[in-house]
Amino acid sequence: MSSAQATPEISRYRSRYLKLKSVLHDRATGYPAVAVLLDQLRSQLDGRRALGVLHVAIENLSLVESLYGWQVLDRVLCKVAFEIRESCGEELPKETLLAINAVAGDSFAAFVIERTDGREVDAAFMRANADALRGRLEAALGDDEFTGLGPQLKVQVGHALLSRNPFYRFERRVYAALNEAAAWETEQRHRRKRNLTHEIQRIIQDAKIKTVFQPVVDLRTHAVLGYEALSRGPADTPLERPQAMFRASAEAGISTDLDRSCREAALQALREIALPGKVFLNALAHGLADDEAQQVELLETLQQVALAPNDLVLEFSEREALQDPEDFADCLGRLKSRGFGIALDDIGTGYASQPVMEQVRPDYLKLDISLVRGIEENLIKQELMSSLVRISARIGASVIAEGVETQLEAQTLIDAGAQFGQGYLFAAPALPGTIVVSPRPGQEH
Amino acid sequence: MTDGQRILVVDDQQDIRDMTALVLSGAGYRVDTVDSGESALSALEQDRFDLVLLDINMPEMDGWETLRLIRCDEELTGLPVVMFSVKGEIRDKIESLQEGADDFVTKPFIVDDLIKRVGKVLAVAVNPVGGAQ
Repeated sequence: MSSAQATPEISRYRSRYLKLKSVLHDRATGYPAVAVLLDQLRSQLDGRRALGVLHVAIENLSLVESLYGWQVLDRVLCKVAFEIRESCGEELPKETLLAINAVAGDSFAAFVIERTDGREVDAAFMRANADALRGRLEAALGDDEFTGLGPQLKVQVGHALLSRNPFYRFERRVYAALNEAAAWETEQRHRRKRNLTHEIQRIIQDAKIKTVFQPVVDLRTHAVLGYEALSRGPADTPLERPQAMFRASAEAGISTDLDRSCREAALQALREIALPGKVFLNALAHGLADDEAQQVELLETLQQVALAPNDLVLEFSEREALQDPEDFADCLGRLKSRGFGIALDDIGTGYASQPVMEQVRPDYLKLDISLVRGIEENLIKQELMSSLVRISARIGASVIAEGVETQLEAQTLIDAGAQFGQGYLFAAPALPGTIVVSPRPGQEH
Repeated sequence: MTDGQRILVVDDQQDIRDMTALVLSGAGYRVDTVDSGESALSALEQDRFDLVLLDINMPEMDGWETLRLIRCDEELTGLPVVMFSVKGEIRDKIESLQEGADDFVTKPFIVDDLIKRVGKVLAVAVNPVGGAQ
């Protein structure tokens, strides 16, 4: 046993160096921030009329994070960063300088110094570069193995020229050129957003939402506890995934309408085919707690299909509690007193708030896929899982692990004390009547 | 089997440092202790360690900042870091996950539990489960 010695000065320099590095280099991709390149850009512009600037952004990337967690977003960003790096010497000239627009950000900058033959860059050359890079990135993301979201990850590559102008400070010229390159892309994005809003309004008006169901099973026996109703927008559109619909509806200020219409669709599906066991139904806290009429409709529908009020488990995202935990708990309390079952969803996505769990005392805690994915090799995820299982026991809730895909994950979850699971290992979401639950290992025929 | 692997214990409280060092050296590890994040970074620059046990709540540079700096030092790629905290809060565990720690130990620890966890993290570091990614 000994005490390590280091002079205070060395310690201070070392930590200062690392501190500076940590704010100027992106951890996930290894790219430097644009500021790191300023000196290089200044000297490259010496004796040239202009440098080419590309601004690379991937639309809907935040969707990846909300669907699959930050780890998967990091992987997608690394893939984009890798492809841009590989494109230097292929789609782009070899000596192109690369940067991330902000550390921990999700858009990139490429500075093209000159053409491969040494001639100066011009607007036409940069447009061709932008198109070529977009093509490469679209192809690479199209077969994205992490998320299957490829088609929805729109690659945006804008271009501009960075020229010398002694009237302005050089640094500001660099950022202005990047903004100019991004502007074209932003315009495209706004146009698409406007279209999406119309699209959502039409989906709600024409009741175009379909409901699929995914079983929640006992991890050991695969016995079905119940089914979660999941909403789907029109097939093969960017709005097929409910998260995409909800995001667009939130931006348009109509998320309560969409929320209601998803439940309408689920109720309709339930009336047509009564499923055995519990029904898990997503809701926005205020959307349902303030909607007396729909609560009555829910209770009536349950009666029609011979289910008790607590057979309907309303799922609320823990993320909703972030803004006003007291108000959130109050909404859930009102619904609980009407006899509905309550589940807290998305537990473990970073906002875990023990007080809310203790106050609401839900019947189920649904643990987010990001805690489940690869849990067998991650000791902290196992530790978190055990803590959440302990809390659930204390407040009288059961744990449901979401997104279980492998037998190893399932076994680790069982070892950590989780009782229920949901995911492709057991069954994919499907229309009622077509749902098949896989047998547990050793029970296959 | 510890093969005399080296562990760096980082904690601003002397009694915790001494106790942890005693327990781990009793288990066959070679243990060094430092009392701040800054000294941890320079100790890591001077010597090779197999694992760092890092307190979260320290004055000046706390455990999170120290961990972030360790993770941006390419010389220290793959170095296992176990966070060490008096609070076993969910929030701290989620943050450990996001900042790239390898495990989380709540103080005061149970001796066998600490040794078991350290052993497990070291085993995973030597033989990672699964492929890259």
